[in-house]
Amino acid sequence: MARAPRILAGSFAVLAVAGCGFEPGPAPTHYALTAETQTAFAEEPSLLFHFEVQMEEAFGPPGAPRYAPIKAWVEDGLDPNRPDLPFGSGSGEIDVAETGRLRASNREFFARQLEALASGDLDDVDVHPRHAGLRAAWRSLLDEVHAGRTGIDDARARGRELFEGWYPSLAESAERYRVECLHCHGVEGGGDGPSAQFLEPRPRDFRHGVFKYTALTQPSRPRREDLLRTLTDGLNGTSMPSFARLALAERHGLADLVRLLAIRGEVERRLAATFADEGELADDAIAEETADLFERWRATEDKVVVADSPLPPVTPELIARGAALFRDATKGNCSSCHGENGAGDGVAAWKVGLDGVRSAAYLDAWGRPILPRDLRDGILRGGSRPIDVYRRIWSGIPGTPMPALGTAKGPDGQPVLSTADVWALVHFVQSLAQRAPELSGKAER
Amino acid sequence: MRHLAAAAIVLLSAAVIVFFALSPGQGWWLPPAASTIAQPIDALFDGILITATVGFVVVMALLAWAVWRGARPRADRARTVHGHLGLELGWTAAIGAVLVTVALAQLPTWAALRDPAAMPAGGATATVLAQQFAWRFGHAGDDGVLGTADDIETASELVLPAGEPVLLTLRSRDVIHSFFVPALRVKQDVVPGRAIPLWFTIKEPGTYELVCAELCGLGHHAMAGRVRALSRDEYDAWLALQSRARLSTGSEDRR
Repeated sequence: MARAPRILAGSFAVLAVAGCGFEPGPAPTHYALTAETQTAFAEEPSLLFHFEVQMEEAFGPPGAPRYAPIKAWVEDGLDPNRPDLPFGSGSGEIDVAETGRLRASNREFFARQLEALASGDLDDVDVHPRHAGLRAAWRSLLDEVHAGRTGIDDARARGRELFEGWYPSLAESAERYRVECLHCHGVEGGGDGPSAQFLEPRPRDFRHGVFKYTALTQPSRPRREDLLRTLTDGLNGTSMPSFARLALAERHGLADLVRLLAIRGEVERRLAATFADEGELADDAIAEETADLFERWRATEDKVVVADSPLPPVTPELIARGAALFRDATKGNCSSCHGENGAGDGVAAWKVGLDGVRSAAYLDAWGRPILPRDLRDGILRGGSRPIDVYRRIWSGIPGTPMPALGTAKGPDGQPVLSTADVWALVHFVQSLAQRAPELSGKAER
Repeated sequence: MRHLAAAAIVLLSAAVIVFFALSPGQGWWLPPAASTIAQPIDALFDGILITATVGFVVVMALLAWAVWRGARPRADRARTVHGHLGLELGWTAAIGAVLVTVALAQLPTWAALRDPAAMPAGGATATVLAQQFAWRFGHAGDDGVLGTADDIETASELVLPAGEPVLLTLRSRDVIHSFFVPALRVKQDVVPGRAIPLWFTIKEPGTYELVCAELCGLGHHAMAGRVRALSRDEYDAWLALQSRARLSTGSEDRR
């Protein structure tokens, strides 16, 4: 009898030790196809299976995603799998200044390893298993040293370059994604991870290729910098936190992976629609759509929204002018949705059912009801700098009813708003924010 | 066997004390103190630790003595006692006196950091907004007033001047978080619905780790950030840079 408690205690100890290494479940082994795809192929299960196999050939499994080479890329010397060697040569997207920032961030991130490398025994340098590629590279270098094929000084120099010049492969980023992002954004980037149902607003579904907060005119895919900004600063007012604690290279890697997931998802959506229409797919349909989408992701240079004139200093007259534009149906017409005073209560944004219940009049691109922002709380998801608000007004918010006013033309063919008009609107929007008095340090002291 | 148990109690207790006595020298302790409030807080911490150690030694010694004494085979080994008023009053009063002393001793230190009126004039202010699962910070812009449209907002990294008092206003958007910077010895729960003031002076420029010390949900572990302390000149330069960046026309994004 006395033995039972002891065995119990023993098993608790084993459980406690085993439970110490938290791992968020086994890695998913394949990307699932969407319900729409399943429906499109409902009558042709063998073609559905064939399509799934082809998709995996084109984009890899979740544990090792990658782009299969496409003829056009090979001809252009473009390899989207390798933006890393050296930074920027692959798909030509990471510029020289960013290379410097990446190296500085790596130096900080791997400070312990670099220190051990410079002063200590090479065997003391350890690499976390999470950085599988880097770990393998370092191990093979170490093996060379042990086999006497590489001198210590040479190994130190090469090891230093290994850590400083590190850039995660898509597979390493996929591991990061699994730990940090998957529980909200889901395996396929469908915004349907296990935590997603508890969040409002819902996590972004990447598979439409539509991202709300970018610096660009629409329609366009986001730039790498737009995704990096969201990753670094998070999205105020949503559950998207800041990932500034990750190394810059890791954030770049996650942006690479988001692009892959978005392209994969959009290819799937396009081809499911094609198949539903035509009942067949060309042999190279996946490659063709991928090449086309990748080109769209790269063609963003000329689309950045830049204000023609700097932000004018704020004056009561300017705010009043902004308010007038906000409410003028032939100018901003913002009040139709956002309400006369920016409370998000404009008549156009709401509908009343037969039962008298008020609900959102619009759906967003992801099929969820969407309400206009209450501008009074001062939480602006796309950023609080004036240029951020300017860009929201100028380009609208993709996937939502928020229109692009900057490029809108009136009946006379003239632009509806000038740069000065947009700046006036920016001042008015910023003046709407009701700031809590305790926020004001000076008033309190 | 019981003699052995008594010896084990003594040895284990001694080992615990030696372990903790050696810990600071091994770097297994709090990081070096980096703020002026650290001195009274460390003094309180050490005082409480020493008091608790004395209590620990006394209790363990009594326990070892009782086990050692009980090892002798005796007919009257156990005796039923129905309370002893004097003893019970005695130890309750003794422990109570220690606790009240600790409570009174820490009050002025605790209160001073949370009373903006006690803060010397000048210095910087910033707001801290905690949310699941991120830290957001606000700095006064060119107008020097917090809560206006020209505020500078940052995420994850709080930039402050070193060598002068700084006043933070802590707020939470959702649940209870805790603003904990071990090197500054600053730890304050952030309670939704309240604006909690907290002031301190960082002694040296440097980067100090910031964590959330109140379990706040699934992403609690990820709620880490940094406090970057700059010299006044660097801080002013940083503020000016942020203000300029705030007034950007976006042209730097076009490459």
